[in-house]
Order: sequence, then C-alpha cells, then structure tokens
Amino acid sequence: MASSRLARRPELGGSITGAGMVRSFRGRLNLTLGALLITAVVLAALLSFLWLPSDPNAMDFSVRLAPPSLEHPLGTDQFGRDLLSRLMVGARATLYVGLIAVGIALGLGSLVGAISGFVGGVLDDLLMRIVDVLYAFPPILMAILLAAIYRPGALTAMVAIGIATVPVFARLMRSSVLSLKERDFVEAGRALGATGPRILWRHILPSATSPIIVQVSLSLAVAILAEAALSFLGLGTPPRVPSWGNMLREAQSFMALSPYPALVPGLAIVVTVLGWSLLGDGLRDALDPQSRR
Amino acid sequence: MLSYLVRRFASALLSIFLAALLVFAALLTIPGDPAEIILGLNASPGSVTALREQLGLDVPPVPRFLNWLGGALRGDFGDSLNYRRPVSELIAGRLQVSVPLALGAMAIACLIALPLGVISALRQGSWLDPLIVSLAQLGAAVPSFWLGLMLILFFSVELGWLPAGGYMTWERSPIGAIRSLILPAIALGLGQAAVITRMTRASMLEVLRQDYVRTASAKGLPQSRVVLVHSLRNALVTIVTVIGLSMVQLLVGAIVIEQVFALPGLGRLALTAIGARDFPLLQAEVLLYATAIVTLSFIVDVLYGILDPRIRYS
Amino acid sequence: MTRILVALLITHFAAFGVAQEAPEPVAGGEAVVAITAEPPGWDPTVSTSQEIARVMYHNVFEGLVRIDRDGSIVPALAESWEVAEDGLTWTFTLREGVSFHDGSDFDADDVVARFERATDPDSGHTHPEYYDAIEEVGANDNEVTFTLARPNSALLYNLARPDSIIYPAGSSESQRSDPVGTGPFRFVEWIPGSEVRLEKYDGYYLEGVPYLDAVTFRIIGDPNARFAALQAGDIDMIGVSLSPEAALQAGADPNLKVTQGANTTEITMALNNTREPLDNPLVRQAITHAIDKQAIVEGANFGFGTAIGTHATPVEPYWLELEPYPYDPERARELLAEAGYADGLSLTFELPEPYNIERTAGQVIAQQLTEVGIDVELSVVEWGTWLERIFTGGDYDMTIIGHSEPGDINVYGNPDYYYHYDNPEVRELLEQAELATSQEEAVESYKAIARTIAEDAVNVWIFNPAYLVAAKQELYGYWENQPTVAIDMTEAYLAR
Repeated sequence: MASSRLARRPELGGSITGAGMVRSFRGRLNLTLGALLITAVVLAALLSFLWLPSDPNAMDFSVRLAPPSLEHPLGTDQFGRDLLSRLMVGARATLYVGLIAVGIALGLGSLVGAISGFVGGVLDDLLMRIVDVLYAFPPILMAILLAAIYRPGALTAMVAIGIATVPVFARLMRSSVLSLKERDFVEAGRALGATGPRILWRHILPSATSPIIVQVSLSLAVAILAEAALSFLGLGTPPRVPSWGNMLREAQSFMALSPYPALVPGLAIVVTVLGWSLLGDGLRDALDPQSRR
Repeated sequence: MLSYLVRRFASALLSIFLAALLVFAALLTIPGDPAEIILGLNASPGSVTALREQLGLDVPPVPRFLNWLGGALRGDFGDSLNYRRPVSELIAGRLQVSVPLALGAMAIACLIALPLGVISALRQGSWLDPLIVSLAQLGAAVPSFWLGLMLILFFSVELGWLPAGGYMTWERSPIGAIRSLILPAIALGLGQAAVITRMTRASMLEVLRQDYVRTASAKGLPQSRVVLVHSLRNALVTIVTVIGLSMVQLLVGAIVIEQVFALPGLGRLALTAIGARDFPLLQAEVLLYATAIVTLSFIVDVLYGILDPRIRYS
Repeated sequence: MTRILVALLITHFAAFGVAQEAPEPVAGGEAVVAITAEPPGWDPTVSTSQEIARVMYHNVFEGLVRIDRDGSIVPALAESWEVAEDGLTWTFTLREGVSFHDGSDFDADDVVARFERATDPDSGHTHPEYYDAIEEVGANDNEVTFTLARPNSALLYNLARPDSIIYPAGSSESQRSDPVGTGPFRFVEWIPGSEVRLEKYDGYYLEGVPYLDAVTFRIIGDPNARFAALQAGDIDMIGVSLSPEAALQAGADPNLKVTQGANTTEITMALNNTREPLDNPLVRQAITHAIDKQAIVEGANFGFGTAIGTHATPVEPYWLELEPYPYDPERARELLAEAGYADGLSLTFELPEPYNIERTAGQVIAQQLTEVGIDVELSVVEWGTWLERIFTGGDYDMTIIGHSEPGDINVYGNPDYYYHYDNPEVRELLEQAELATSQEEAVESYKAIARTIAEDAVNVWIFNPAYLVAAKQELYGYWENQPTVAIDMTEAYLAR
C-alpha cells in the first residue's frame, strides 16, 4: 500500500485546519471567499457572451502597448487589442478547459479506481501499474506528444491535462472503495444477493462523493495552472482565441515595452486558481468535518 | 521488508519500461520525419533518403525498439539523431543546469517553508498563523512561469541586477552560472515553498496533539526543546514525503521555467527532442524522468520506514 | 555568354549599402556573436542547418568563389576563371600560397577530391543536384577544370554556396567535429550546447585581415534571452532573427546600434491552389484584396520591411513593383460574392510554430480576412508536422512562411511544390529564361513570370522583412545586408 502515498499529491492537499472554532470559521471564510472569486470569474465569462468593452480581436496599431486608460481600462497588447475584453473572453477558455479536463479525469479515474478497488487481485495490480506510469510521465511531455499527433489546441490540452489527472481520481476512488468494501452495509447488500456493479453503484459511489467533490475543486485549480502553462508553451488554445496562457505567451517579448499585457492575465490566473483551491478547502471542512487533513 | 522492497523495485522497473514503450509508440505515430526536419526547407529528396539510411530510420520499428532496448540495458542509449552525439553526453551536459536548478529551488523552498510551517503551528491562534496560511494559499496559486516573468520584469528589466535569461556555463564563469540560476530557482522554489509550508504546519499540529508531546511539556521541558527534539523529528515523516514529492514537481515544473529563462536544461532538451523527432534522445530523457520519479517515491517509502518505526510493510 | 547568364542569380545589394560613419579599422580584440541553435556538427556539406553556414562559411571555410557584400560573386580560393565558348568547360586558376589550418597546403587535388565526393550519390552530400551537370573534374598544376555534360548557368553561383567549400582531401570524416578550412579564422573549440570559438588564423593569405583575434559564436535559442545578453554586454552582436521589438529597444539603448539591411526573404502566405475554394482565382484575388500589407509591416514587424506584390525582393534582378490586387476590402467582398461566397467562407490558416514574424503576421492577416467575411480557423503547427504535412505533403488551405533563398522564383515551375500551382505558360517562361542569350532577355522572362504569378494570385506575397542587426556601438565592419546566410566576421573590428 505504501505506493499509494503518491496519491496525496502535495499541491492538492488543502490548508490544514486546527481544532474547534478557529477551524470552522476559517473553513467558512475559505468557502465564501473561494465561491466569491469563482463567481466573479464565471460572471465575467458569461458577461463576455453578452457584452464586451470592445472587440477583443480588433487591432489598432496606433494604441499598441498602451497603459490603462478610459477607453482601455487595462491597457492594450502589442496589436493594440483591448486587454480587458481579451481577459473576459479568456475566462471562457480557462473555465472550459479546466472543467472538461477534470471531467475527463473524474470519469476515467473514478472508473479505473472503482474497478481496481472492487475487483482487486491481478487486475488491481495491473491498473495501478498503468496509473503509476501515467504519474511518472510528465504531463507537459504528454501534451507535446499529443499536440504533435493531432494539433495543438484546447482539445489537446484538455485531454492531456485530463489524462495526467486520472491517477489522482483513480487512487482516491480505489481507496474509498477499499475502505467501504468491508463495511456492514456493503456486506449486507452482498448477502442479499446484490451483484458487484450494483453494489458499486448503489452503495459505494454515493459514500465516496464528498472526497470526490473536494478533489474536483482542488484539481480544477491544478488544471487551470496546467492549461496556462501549456498555452504559454504554445500547446494550448490557438492564437487569436484569447486565453490567459497565450496572452502571457505573447506578452513575454514585449515586457520591456509595457508590463500590462504580462501583468493582467497572470493576476487573473492567480485569482481563479486561488478561488478553486479556497473553495476546495472550504468544501472539505463543510462536507467532511471529521477530516484531519 | 526485503520482499516488499524487491516487489516494489520490480514494479518500478515495469513502470519505467512501459513509459519508454509509450514514448516510442507515440513518436512513431507523430507526423514528421527526423531526416526531413534536419535538412529543412531546401533539402533535396535524394539527401533525405540518404540521411534516413545514415540515421538507421529505414530499419522497421520493432527491431529498432529492440535494438534500442538492448543498448539501453547495457547502458548505451545510442546517438541523438539531431545532434549526432551520444545521448548520454548530451544529457550529462544538461544535468549541469538542471541539477543545480532543482537543488537550488528545493533549498529556497525548504529555507522558507520549514521555519514558516513550524512557527505557524506553534503560534496557532495568534495572528501569525492565519497570515502564514494565507500566504501559502496564495503562493500555491501563482503560476511559476508567471512568477518568473514578473521576476524578470522587476530584477532584470527594471533594476538590471540579474540576467533576464540565458545561461553562463560553469566552465566560463561559476559566478555567472549562479547568477543565471538565481531567478529561475526562486520562481521554481516559491510555489513548492507554499506546499511544504502547509504540510509542515499540518504534521507539526498532528504531532503536537499527541500525548507524548503533551507529557513532555507537562514534565516542564522548555518549549523549544520539545519542538525540536520531539515534535519535529516525528513530523519529519510527512515532511520528508512532501519534499520528495516536491522534487518530482520541481523536475516537471522546470520544463516551463527553463523555457521562460531560456536555460539549456533537460526540459528544453526534451522539447527539442520532440520537435526533431529525435527518439533516442527523447526515450532516454523520459526514462530519466520516469526513473527519477519512481526512485524518489521509492526512497520516500524507505525513509518512511526508518523515520517512523510504526509503519509495517506488508 | 554563359557568364552573362550567371549574373542573373546575382543579387543587387550594392544599392542598399547604408554606409556607417566608421572609424579606421584596428586590429585586436574579441567579439561574441549570437546564433540561435546548435547544429549537428560543423560541416556544411553534410547538413543544411543554416547555423553551420552562419558560423563556418567565409570565416573558417571557403570555396573557389564566394558571395560578396553586394551580392556579386568574387574570387576566393580561385584567383580567376574562364568559361569556354560552348559553356561546357570551366577552368579555375587557383590562388597560390594558401594553406589549411592544419598546416597542409591547399592544391588542385583537394578541389578534385571535394567535387568527386559532392557528385557521389552515396556520400550524403546535402545537395548533389547543384553539381549534376558536372561530368568530370580534372586538375592540372594549379588549374582545375570542370567538364560539363550541358551548359549550366547556375554553376558559378552553386560554387559560391556554403555547400561547395573546400577542405583537405581525405578529411571529410573529421570535419563534422573538427573543421579544417582555409578561412581567416580557425576552429578552436566547441562547447556543445554553449558556444564555438574561432581564433585568428595567422597564415591567412590576405594581408591585414581578420582584425579580430577571436570570434565566439554563442548559442542562445530564446530571442528574449539573446537580446538580454546583448543588453547586458555578454555578447556583442545579434545578426540573426532579431525581433523588431528588440530592434526598437536596441535603438533606444545608448550602448547599442541597429542596422537595417536587405535580404532576399519573401514572407509568403501560401495558398493551396488545387483545393476548393482556393482553386477559384476569384477567391485568391479576393483574399489578396482583403490584405493590407502595409498594415502588416507596421503591425507585425514595427515597420521594418517592404510590402511586395510578387515572389521577388528589391535586391533580385527581376524585382517588380506591382500590385494587381491592391488592398480593397470592398472589392474583396464583391469578388467573394461573384465567386459564390456571398455568405462568407471558412478556411484554415496554419502558422509554423518556430517563426515569430510569420506567427505574428498570421494573426494580423486572420483579422483582416475576418473583416471581409472569411472565417479563418487559425492554428499554430509544430515544425516537424508543418514540414511533413504542409510542405512535403501539400495538405493545407493556407499557411505562411518566409522563403529566403535568392532567385527562388523557379519553384513556380514545379507543380508538385506545395502551392500546387500548375501553369504551362510559367514553365515555358522558365525554360526561356534558362536558354536566354542575353541578360536582358532572361530578366525579361523572369519578370514575366513574376507578373504572371501575381496576376494569377497564386499566393499572397506579404513583405520583405528588413535584415536587422543589433550590435555594440564599438563593433564595425560586419555585414549590414544579407546576400548569403553567413555571418562573415573577416572585416569586423572593435573601434577604441
């Protein structure tokens, strides 16, 4: 079992909470703050479908790399495009890629973990080895390989991040299943003649929900960081479709001429990642008051 | 214990082999031909064919993989298709950048995180604790490559103190080499510092709640001794795990940081290798990454046993 | 007669010489020059990597003839040459008293061995086709005679290419890692992944040059890091892939200077001429009308460059200033409607990942096309994939790349080239140009090709980017134009 310690990926670990009042207060604070930040990002993304300060793709070379002004509240990039508008549209890509990637990881990972834990034996060993390989394979290299096979783009980034996140959910699900398998209600179900899949579906899955919800939120934080890194390397969202990562990529060579194009999307990433991880921590406290971690 | 170690070792080897196979298969699927890439836009078809033969690309995939595997088992990773030099030599050169970078980043992370984590746990209830916890929460949310850009903006563009990128070799100037690694190590280390702070605080709290620490306090031992001798030693179990796993994160995170600071490290070598479809080089690199990751988690497990005798291996 | 035709390939850089106010050359000192990537060895005859030629050509290796600053072909290891009336026999008189860096003497046998190898299909030479008209290479004292199977107007230019350098007979195996040539600098050290060091060769046959005691070529892949190194004084010159934003910053830096010179690069937006709807000339014309080239020069390259209307640059002899389908978005919409795409159409546009100017220009183009109702699906394609699928495979709608080879308009006669352009008229003109009896006549044929492809709107030729060099104020004598890929440091010096 020692190998599954890897499942506790440190970056996913929540803030550690003390005892009593302090802890539940902080838990609620985390939850509130996280929810606020994420709501703001989601609203910005939704608003971008209805209204934008200006056309995010309209170029105006006369105002390139301009500092914030009334017309361009966050300044402009090297083509004179409005940074605020691009930031708002970029929120869509960020949320979208993050959600789908974690969706892939959740679906695939839970399935593998559940089967592995429930069936056990040789199959368990084999599946966990595959999960180990995935874990040992740097996600960035995987994204690059995928980008070369298909083409770089949002889909490739989602799949790569999703696959790289599979081990987290697989291990979480497996350990949930292992610990629940021997519990009374499962034994009872089995005694009553319920089949494997049915037990899994009716009894075990619902009990594993809380840790999974928490993990989804925390994984979203990681996925968004990963998407930004991939787009920064030119492996994520294609140019012209604004995403925070590719805004940063383009800004890199103009930093000496204007800091805003690099500053603005970076701060947006920080806010969003912080939002998801606070939310995850808050949810952990709310859903699982027994948790020590 | 021994049988556990053997089993663990065997499964580690299997993981590494599967990773190598995966890369090889992926490289076969990718469009793009190493000879075509080396020769570029002005290549003549005849020279592409000649180069393909010269590089041994006309050998079918299965024997090619077996050849490579045979060589790798004997410690011979072949020659890079792109650089036409032994892969081992190329990797050794890049390690001169990557190893100091990872160690430097880890040193920065530990120097910041261990004291902060311990203080935060001991001062639970005071204003210091939530401050440190919030800082750690924030630190973990900052993308390392963006932090790198901001460090460049401030320390290189504004102040002109440190190079914005590039790498001075150790042979040419050790001071130059260190200077070119400072900002990247900070960018890489701060994110891990956030993680380690949180983990240190957590395991310290866990230990402080244990009876024997309370007993030690009750016996009237001065608090600093209690902390250092008893608590920290026990908390180390978790901390060591976290540091080991952080090392893995550093290896992977370095790929992007090397790109930001234009450092000729392992990560950029891997990117180039994929770009050039240089499979001997990429295979060896992935093998190295996989081995490092598997070995680190192996060491962590063993240390676990040494530091915490309560853990039994089944 | 043959010699006249040769002149066709010679580019006219002389007019572009922007002479700097330069102090008297002084000998001594060392310079560090940036290159962008590490090549797989240093022998230009076994790899087409441009970095090899950048570092080695003219500096370490020389051929019988070489390309001068103004684009003309001048003597190098050959003192003079003669062409027989029938154009089938070329006799080169070799320079006397030339020695290789290993101390051995340069003689006719080295030349013969070199070209025997170059014409041997099994030798792995980069471009055997450059020499395929050569039937025999003979030596007589200090004369080398090339006997051709047919007249070959390109021979002299091909002999001036980096692929035609001469090294000691029998040394081809060791040249990759230990280059030995006749040039003004000798190869001293290669620190893989980091730099190559060349030192002054005291036995060089020309008096007085080189001025510098040593030149180090440092490998810095990242453009930002490269420029940072220049600003920090770690390197003295960037003569390759200097980004326009870096040029702007260098211009504002009191320690640095920027020069703008000419080169033969056409940033070309290639259209797949056989794929629907781009097989329709009206659609290609509409696309050309939709693109504001001047805005791209401004927007993507900060004004460093010249808009072009066909596959030619101002330094090439067949350069034409023409624009049959000038920027006119209204006309573009009309033509699209006429072609049956009144409701717009959708095209993919793939940008090659490693090329910054192309990537940036591509974004501006995409925006301009969107404004006339063309829905552009933009993506960035990794280089290996670009080469295999787009360049070799011809599978794409639209892409963009810089074609930098001088005199490369002949690709329009090849229907298999990735544009898939097949016009018998152009092929005939090309043949005429090759058989022309006077330079004027040949240039006229090339101009006719340039005009025809522009009228056919084969591609959209966007602009000819300026050759930008940023250097330390004290550095003089480097090449400000780029008639060849080499970064020739023979006459470079550091003023005091």
